[in-house]
Amino acid sequence: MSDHPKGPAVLDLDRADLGFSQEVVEAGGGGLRNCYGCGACSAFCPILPKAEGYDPRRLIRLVLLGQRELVLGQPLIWLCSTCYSCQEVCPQQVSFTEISFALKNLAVEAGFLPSGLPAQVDLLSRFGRLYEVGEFENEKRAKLGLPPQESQGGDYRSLLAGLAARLGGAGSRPGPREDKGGGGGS
Amino acid sequence: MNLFRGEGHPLPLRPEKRVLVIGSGRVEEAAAEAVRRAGGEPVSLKGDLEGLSGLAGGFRVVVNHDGQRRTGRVGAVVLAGTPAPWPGPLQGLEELDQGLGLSLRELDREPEAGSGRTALLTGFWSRLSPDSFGLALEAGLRIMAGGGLLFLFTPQAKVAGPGLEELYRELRLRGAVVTRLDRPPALEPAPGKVGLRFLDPILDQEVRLEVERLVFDPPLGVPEEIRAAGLSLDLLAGPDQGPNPDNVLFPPPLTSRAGVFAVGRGLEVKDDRAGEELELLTEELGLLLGSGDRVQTATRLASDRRQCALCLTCLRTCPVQAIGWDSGPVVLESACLSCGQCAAVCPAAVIEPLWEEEEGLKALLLEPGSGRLVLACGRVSPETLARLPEGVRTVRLSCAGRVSPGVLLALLGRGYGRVVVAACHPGNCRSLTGSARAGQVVAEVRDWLSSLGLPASTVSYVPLAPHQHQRLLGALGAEEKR
Repeated sequence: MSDHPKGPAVLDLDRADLGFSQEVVEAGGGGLRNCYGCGACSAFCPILPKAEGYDPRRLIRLVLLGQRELVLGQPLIWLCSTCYSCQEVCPQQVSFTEISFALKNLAVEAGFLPSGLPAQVDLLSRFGRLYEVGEFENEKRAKLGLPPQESQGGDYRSLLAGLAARLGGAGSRPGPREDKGGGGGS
Repeated sequence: MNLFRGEGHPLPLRPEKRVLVIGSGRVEEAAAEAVRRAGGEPVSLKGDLEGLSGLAGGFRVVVNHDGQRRTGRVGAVVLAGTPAPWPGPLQGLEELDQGLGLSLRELDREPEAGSGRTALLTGFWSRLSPDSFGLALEAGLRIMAGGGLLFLFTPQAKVAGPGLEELYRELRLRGAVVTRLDRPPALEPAPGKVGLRFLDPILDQEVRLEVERLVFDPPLGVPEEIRAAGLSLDLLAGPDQGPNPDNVLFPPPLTSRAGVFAVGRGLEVKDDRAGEELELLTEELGLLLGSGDRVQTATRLASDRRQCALCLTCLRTCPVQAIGWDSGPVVLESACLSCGQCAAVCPAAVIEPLWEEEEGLKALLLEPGSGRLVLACGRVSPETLARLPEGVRTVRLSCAGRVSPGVLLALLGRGYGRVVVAACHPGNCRSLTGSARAGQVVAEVRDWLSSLGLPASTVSYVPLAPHQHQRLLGALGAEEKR
């Protein structure tokens, strides 16, 4: 993994994995090879001006050049906000958002995971949401004249387990929406 | 070759056996060998070529060598340029091991397109045409069909042409890595392979790559000495400013450059296509220098050599230098435009054109005439002449430049009341100076008529562009009314 977003000074394609682009295509990044590098996606990307080094066009090029480690190993691929602007403006019907998903999936498979992500997964599985209401939030609520919100954490895992048992062991699939456990992560 | 029939015995041409070979490198060596095979004696150019005059078989060349001007006689000139070396970054190509670097044409001859990594470079040395891009794309697909990995380098993202978009798309979808570069990638030493280095325009980063094979377009660069010689010889230049082979190797009838050959244009590095061109050169030179068959027909002009005043007026007048001098005037049949200006200016009136239109003029001069007469250049459109009113006699000339004061005065003497010379637009004259000369001749005759107190308007000159029949009608009508 390279820390510098631009990678090494000279990119040596001798170590390139030129099958990588095929892998990305198969993982759902179809249209990748249609890219001719016009940069329309980069021009419309709302993340690019905020995050140094993030550039959809650049990522596609690195994939095409077989830079597996460089692409999957860098935290940049996780910055996509999935706004689909890139896809909207692409003249070649390249779905960069789909490529982005494919890259994230491949990164997880390859064991590259940004450190925040497991914590988020933990939160989701414990509380059913990414953001749990605590004292800080209740103080703010009090100032606004709202009643305090009780924490509902703690029993979510057992809830899920019970649900899974009821559905006949299909625990990995999301169950029907429950009142309390609702749409995690909003 | 000899047009001037002296006492019925054609003057034999004695072609000069020496052949000037301009160029350097292996193509020049091969061309010199071809000259020897054709029975000639190759001489190489020392200095700058400043001029070429005369005819095939006896060119007079002017060479400037270190400020000293020298002249010499050669039978023919061969431009034999070894294609210009690859532009800087690919200079190491010649040193590549056999089989590592090959041109598209050489790739065609390979039984298998091969596997491994191939870099295909197209469009860097000559402008990409739809044809050449299509060939490159097809070659790329063939390489990939053989299981190879393809890196395509090109300076242009797209070339419009039927089917190209599809080919290009196909190539990309099969996984070719396409890189658009302004300059070809640099070659780097790599044992048993070809190292390439380029600045990726998207990553803005140096990229290094080793491939098993380099495939490229034929280098079409024109060497500097050939470019300069082409300019000196007044040869039409092709799009790359080099002598256009269509005008040199196979001179069309409208040039006076028979005897000037160009070989080696468009030849590839390590290509044997030079062989074909050199064989053709041997053949042509053989006809020119050996038997002289190439230059022996006389179908355009004839003259009585005994009456020739040796004044060189014909030689100076010919717009395409088709008349040369070999102890007397000689015409180059392949260069002659049949305009007849030489016959018009000959003070001894001994040049006799042999073409068909001349019969009409002869007949005209022998018969008595009356009314209006149009002498029309052979290129004036039939539609224009068809619109002339009844009673106007029309006679075609090969070129309006054929008219001389003598012809015009003779026609007036035959009884014609008006003589109109209908010419092409002077800027569009096929024989370059024919139309303008006709204008001068008419002006001269009008002067004479005026000074004799006769109406000058009996003779007029009407240069016509296409669709200007009104102008001709107006000229005839206006004159009639006056």
